[in-house]
Amino acid sequence: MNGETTNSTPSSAERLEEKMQKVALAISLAGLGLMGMGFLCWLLHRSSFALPGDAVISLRNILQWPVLNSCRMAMSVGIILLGLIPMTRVILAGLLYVRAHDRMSALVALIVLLELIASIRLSV
Amino acid sequence: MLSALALFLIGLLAGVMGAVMGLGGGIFLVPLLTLLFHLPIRIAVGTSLVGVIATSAGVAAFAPRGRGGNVGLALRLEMATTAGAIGGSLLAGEFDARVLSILFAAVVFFTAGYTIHKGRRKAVGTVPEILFHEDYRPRHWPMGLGGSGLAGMISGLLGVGGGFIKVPIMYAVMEVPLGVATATSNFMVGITAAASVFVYYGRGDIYPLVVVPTAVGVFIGALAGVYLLPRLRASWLRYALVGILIILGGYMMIQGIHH
Repeated sequence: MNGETTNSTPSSAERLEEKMQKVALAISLAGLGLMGMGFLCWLLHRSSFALPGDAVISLRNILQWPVLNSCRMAMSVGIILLGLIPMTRVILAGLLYVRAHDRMSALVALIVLLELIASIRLSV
Repeated sequence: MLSALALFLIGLLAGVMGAVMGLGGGIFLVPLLTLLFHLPIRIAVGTSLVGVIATSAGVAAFAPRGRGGNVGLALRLEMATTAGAIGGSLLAGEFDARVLSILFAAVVFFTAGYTIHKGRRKAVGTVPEILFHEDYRPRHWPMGLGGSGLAGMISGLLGVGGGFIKVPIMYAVMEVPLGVATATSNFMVGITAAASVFVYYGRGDIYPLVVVPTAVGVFIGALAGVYLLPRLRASWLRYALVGILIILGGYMMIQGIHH
C-alpha cells in the first residue's frame, strides 16, 4: 500500500458520489418496493401471521424460476436486490477508476468485487 | 399483524439511532429481535445484516454532498473486511447460539464504552476539530487492514456493521480525519454486510416475514436520522444510547449463560 487513496480530481470524486447516490436510491426503492409488494400479497393471501414464517427462496430456485409468481419470491428477490446495492457501488467505483486510468484503485475494486461474488457463490 | 407493526417500529428506531450515532442499527436489532420476539440469534443476525445494508443505502442516498467519505480508502480496507465478513458468517453457522449471545453481549458492552469515550473526548477538546479536509495521507496500513479484517469477522458473526472498530482504527491509527473516517465507515458497512448476507441467505437464515417490515422500518428510520442529525444535540442521546446498550448487553449475556 502506498497510501495513495482516491485523491483523484475533486470533479471525479463528486461524479462518483452523485452516481452512487442515484444508483443506491434506485435499487433501494426497487428492492424495498418488491419486498413491500410481496409482503402485502402475503398478508392478503394468508389468514395468519406467525413469526418467523418460511425462509427465503434459495438463489438456485430463483435462478431456475424466472417469473415472480409468488409473494415469497417477490420478497426474496427484493432482499437480494437490497444485498446487491453495495456490489453495484463497487462496480461503479471500479469503472470510474478504469476511466481515470487509476489502475491500482481499479484492481482493488476488482478484488473486492471478486470477494463479493465468492460470497454469492457460497449461497447458491 | 401487530407483530409486523412492532418489527417495523423496532426497525425505525434502529435506523434512526444507527444514522444519528453512526453505529448501524445491528447493535439494537439483534438483541431486540431475540429478546422481544424470541427469534433464534442466527435469524436475528441475518435480519440485522439486511438492516445494516438498508441503513447504509439510505444514508448514502441522502447524505449531504461532499460528505461521502473516501471511496479509495474504503475499498482498500474492504479487501480485508470482506474476507473477514465471509469467514465470520461461515463461522456463525458452526457456533452454538449461547456462544454467539455472549460474544454479542461483549461487543455491545465494548460499543457502550466506545460511545462514552467518544463523548468525553468531544467534551474535553478545546479547539473544534476539522472533521472533513483533504490534507491527509492514511498511514499504518498493516494495522488498518488487520483491524478491518477483525471488524469484518465480527460483522459476519454477529450482524453488526462494525463501525465502532473501523472508525477508531481509521481515525486514531491511520490518521484519517474523523468526519471522513465516519463517512468512509458508512460506505464500508454496506459492503461488509452484503458479503455476509448472502452466506446467511444460502444457509436459510433469512426469513422474509421478519426481514421485510424490519428493513423497511430501518430504511425510513435511516432517512429520518439523516434529516435529524444536524438538528439534534447528540449529548443526551449518547447517554440514552449507552443506557440502552448496557441493558441490552446484560440481557444478551443472561440469555447466553442461562439458555
